[in-house]
Amino acid sequence: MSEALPDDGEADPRWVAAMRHAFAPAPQPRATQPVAQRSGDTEITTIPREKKAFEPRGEIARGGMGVVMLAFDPELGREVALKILREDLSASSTAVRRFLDEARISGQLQHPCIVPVYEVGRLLDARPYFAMKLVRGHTLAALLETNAKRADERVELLRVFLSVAQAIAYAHSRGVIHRDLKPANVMVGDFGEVQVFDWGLAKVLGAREETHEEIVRAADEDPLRSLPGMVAGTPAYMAPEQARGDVDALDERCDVFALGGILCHVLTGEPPYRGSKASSIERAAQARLEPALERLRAADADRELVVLATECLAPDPAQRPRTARAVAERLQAYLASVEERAHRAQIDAVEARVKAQGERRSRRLTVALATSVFGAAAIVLGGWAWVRSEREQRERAADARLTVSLEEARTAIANEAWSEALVTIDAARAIAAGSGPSERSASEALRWLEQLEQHARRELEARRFQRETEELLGALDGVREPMGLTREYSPARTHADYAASFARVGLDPATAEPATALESLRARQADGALAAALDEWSGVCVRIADGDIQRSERETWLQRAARLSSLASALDPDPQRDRMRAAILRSDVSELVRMGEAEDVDSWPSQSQLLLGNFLGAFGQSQHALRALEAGQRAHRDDFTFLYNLGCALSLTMPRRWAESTRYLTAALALRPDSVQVRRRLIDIFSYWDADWRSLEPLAAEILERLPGDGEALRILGDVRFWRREFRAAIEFYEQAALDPRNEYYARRSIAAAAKASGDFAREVLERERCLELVAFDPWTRSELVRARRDAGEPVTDADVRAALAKTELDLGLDGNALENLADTYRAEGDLTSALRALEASRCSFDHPSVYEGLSIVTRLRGDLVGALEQARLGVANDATYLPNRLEELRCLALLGREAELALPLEALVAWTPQNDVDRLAYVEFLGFDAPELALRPERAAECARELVRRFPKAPRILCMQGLCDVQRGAWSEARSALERALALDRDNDPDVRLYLARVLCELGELDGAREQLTAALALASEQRLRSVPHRARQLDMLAQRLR
Amino acid sequence: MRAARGGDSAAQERFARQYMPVVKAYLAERWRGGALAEEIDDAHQEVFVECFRGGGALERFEEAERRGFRPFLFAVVRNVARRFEERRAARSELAPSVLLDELEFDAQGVSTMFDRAWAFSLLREAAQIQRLRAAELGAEALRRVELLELRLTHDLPIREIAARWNEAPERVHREYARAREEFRAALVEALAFHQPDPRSAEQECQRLLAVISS
Repeated sequence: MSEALPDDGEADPRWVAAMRHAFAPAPQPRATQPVAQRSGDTEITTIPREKKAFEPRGEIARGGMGVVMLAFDPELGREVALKILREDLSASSTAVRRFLDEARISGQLQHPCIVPVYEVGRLLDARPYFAMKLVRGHTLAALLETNAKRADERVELLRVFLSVAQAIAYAHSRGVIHRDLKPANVMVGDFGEVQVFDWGLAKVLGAREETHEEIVRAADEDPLRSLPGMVAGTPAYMAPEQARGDVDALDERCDVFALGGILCHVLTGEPPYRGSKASSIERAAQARLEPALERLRAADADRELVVLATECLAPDPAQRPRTARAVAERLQAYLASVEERAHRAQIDAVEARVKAQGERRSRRLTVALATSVFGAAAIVLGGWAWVRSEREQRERAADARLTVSLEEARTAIANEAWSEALVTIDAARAIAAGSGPSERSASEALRWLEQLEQHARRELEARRFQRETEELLGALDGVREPMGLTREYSPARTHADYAASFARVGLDPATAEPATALESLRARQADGALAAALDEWSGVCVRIADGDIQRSERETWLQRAARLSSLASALDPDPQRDRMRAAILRSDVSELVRMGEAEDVDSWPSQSQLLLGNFLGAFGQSQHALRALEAGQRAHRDDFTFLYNLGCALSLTMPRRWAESTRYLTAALALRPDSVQVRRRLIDIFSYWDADWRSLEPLAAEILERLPGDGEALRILGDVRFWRREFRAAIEFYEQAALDPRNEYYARRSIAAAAKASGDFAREVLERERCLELVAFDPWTRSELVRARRDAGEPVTDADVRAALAKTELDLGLDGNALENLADTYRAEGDLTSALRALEASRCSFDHPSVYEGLSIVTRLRGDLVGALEQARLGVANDATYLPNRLEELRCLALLGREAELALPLEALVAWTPQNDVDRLAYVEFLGFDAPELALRPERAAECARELVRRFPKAPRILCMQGLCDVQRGAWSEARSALERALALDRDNDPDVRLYLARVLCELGELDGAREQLTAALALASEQRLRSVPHRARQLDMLAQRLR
Repeated sequence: MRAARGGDSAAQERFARQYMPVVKAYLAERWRGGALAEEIDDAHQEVFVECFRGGGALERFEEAERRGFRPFLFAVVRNVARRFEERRAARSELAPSVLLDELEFDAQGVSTMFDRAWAFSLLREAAQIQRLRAAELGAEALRRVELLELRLTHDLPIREIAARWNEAPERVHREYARAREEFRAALVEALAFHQPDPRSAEQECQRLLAVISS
């Protein structure tokens, strides 16, 4: 359909496809009640825009073609730059056309570094105008005037230059050349944003050239026209071919020359040509570049830059880099290497600082000792000289006390125990100021103490500041989440956490006056880390602004985001990251995706890769985010943030890459062993992927060590106990989890489930009631409450339970997951027809493999083994990694007697993560428990069971498994031992243990013991209403008959 | 849109009818195969309730004008979808973390689907505009619309259409070219309504063509 037919002539096939869609009959909506009242025909009416007039606020600049005014746009409530055609040119059709061309070309070039055109129009006197973004700041020319000769400012200027080259590269890619590129046409905003403007001389390459007759006729009408041989542009940066007026020969390389000219200016402080316009044009036309090249060679600049400038300034266009993109890429590579060198230098500096700290400590000690010796010696000498009278003796004793006190202060200082030093200094000062010591000793000591105190206070303050900064960075690390790349990500919560982290050290970047905030942030001397946090925080604010909030709030959030972003930019001024920042503030996903698709992502600086990965993740572009993060991780293998972010991203993007995700997160944990966030992610993965107890339990315990009372960790510990059928222990953990208000509802549901599983229906009733207090609309809990009341012995009939279930089924509608739960209850109630109905309904809306498991079980219990096998196999086809369907398949095959078909699914089951405890348990369960009559591989089953018992020696369920495997093998004594140990650990709860022990005792001929166990098992089964489980009832009956 | 916000039921009807396919396509893609798929009808109605209620999304219409209507509608639909998902998570027996597993979806795919539905909606709108303009211009223009329909929806060759109309094929070819130009103008008009920023119209047009060709 998308291809044009022969009749469509020259029509673009895409347009033909578009028209086909446009005129295709509209799809008929399903019969639903519309919100709005239906009325007659569908009629599309566009709403004309009613613009209010601009309010002029003064002239900004005046050029050859027009005047640039500052104006206020009342429609959008913002200031704009308004360019208006000069009045004296309004009669010139060429001037009007060229003016509009400028607007059109600028409007078509959408790049963060090209001034965007908002609107084009005509004044009342018909003069054309266009409104552009107003950029406040300085031109690059002004910056070069003040900064070019300062080497420390050069990197900043080079970053500006890189942005210019990227903007021109973009223009070249769209077939546009600027032709008047110079520092005066580049604006650098107050927050470092770079904008190339004045596209009045720009030319669209490949545009239709006018005929000679048209040119001559137009020239007669309008003296402003460019003619062959006429020179347009600024000579100081002009390419030779442009200076010669060779208009036809101009292509991208004339802009490349101008870029070379600007680079020359940045490196040498002067443009390629100096002097009057006329002389410059002459020199430019003749390519007299030797003085400029000489200045370049003599410049204090890296060789790569000098070579690049020289190549760009080649007189022959063929010798220059072909496009601005090539220039941008070379400069970017240079800046990346500078950044890497700076990074390395920072690391070296830190290492040197650590080394120096040790040396300084020793030096300080020496100085302190020397001072102390001097002070003490002076005091003691003074003392000896005056030992003559009683008064002198008193003075001597006081001097000795003072000496001891000074010695204590000295020791504290030497140990860098600054707080203690201040205490000892105070004590020494009290002695010195008292009446005891000699005047000389006292004054000497006081002078020395004053110095010591100042030093101690300075050190104390510096240490406090340093510790505070470390705490801030640690707190920010804790808050930082790869945006949108974690399950429970909440922008509002993250925003609050960021604000709180900064507030704890007295910083308020989101609302404080920007200059003050910037100064306070810079004082922390952690520009990179703080910029990264501010970038993420800014992205969080944008996400909140994009959310469902009021318009007034939205503006506030966007302003907050812009403020944080500008602070990040000031701390980390980088054109590439500034481009990302600008894109995120505009919510411009496509711009971020374009950046992510760049071929050279691998060679980007790590900060850029990380920022891009996070921003893309925040906008749901997970595949692009992955690419950026993987590139970063390849380049920085031991970087925690890359490992963590990549681990999260891999576990959450489809298809899931669990194993890789686990690997990256484990590596991240090795780098930061105290990280709670990594542990939470690992728990997520282990819970969903393979529910590995061995991994979950220690991770949750480690979180609790770091965050006592953490509800999520407590719930995980409870879940692990629940899966082991250790219900009491599970409830204890859930109860602790319920103390955390955010977790209470789910913890209570878990308690109710554990209470039900352990037969404590009274407790279940209490918990279900509490759940309904917490969440009013919860149909499932409502019917479970009715059932629990009946089971707890309250006056509730089976009919009441059935009515409650029917009501719940209605309330649940097509909520597939809840229907599946309901089917379980129906099954437990023995109502297999309703269970099947609920499961079928569930499958319609909830295509989860567990639904097939339920369908297979219910179908099997209804006696349709072939149908059950079919459901199990559908489940396996739905998700081969979901183990219970494999087990169902095996059960059905076994019960059908199709043993020849068992090998394949059995091997598949065993091969699937054979190191996993749960799988082993399932395997043992299948081989030794649910289908004992099959006696499949009993030795292997026993081996698995023994291994599990070694690992969990106090788990009754596993001991029971071992006992059953021994039953399989006919090892009755061993079976008895295992089952009795299981019984000792779980005397009241599990009738299975007694049931199988009864069987073993029967085999051993101990019929009295067997009867005793069977009676107890039957009592427990009755108490726990296990009669409703048909297969267990049958097993009990069979054994009773055998014993009789 | 202002009228719809002001409570004009006819305007609300037009608004709902125009954007319903886009909203439904997005929700269907987001919840494909999931438990929430059956709630699409409720959810799409909630989107429009959200738009029309006092203090609702359309109150922020100026914002939509500034940033373009497509991202605005996208945000409203996405928010409603999230609300449904959260409600469902709260209803479930399982912990929310377990449910999140099934709530995962391919955000990129959903976004692409929204873009496609949006593009088709704009194309249909452009066709409507062309019909309206043709009605204003007269019989010749209306005939050109008919020509497009015959050529594109009935796949009739130009030569056959010419024979039916008893016209020279060359003339019908010229009319066909003109009709295509008129459609293009109508599409730009439709885009201008949703994307008031003039610099974006052409780019948006190209983007739209790319979306439907992908």
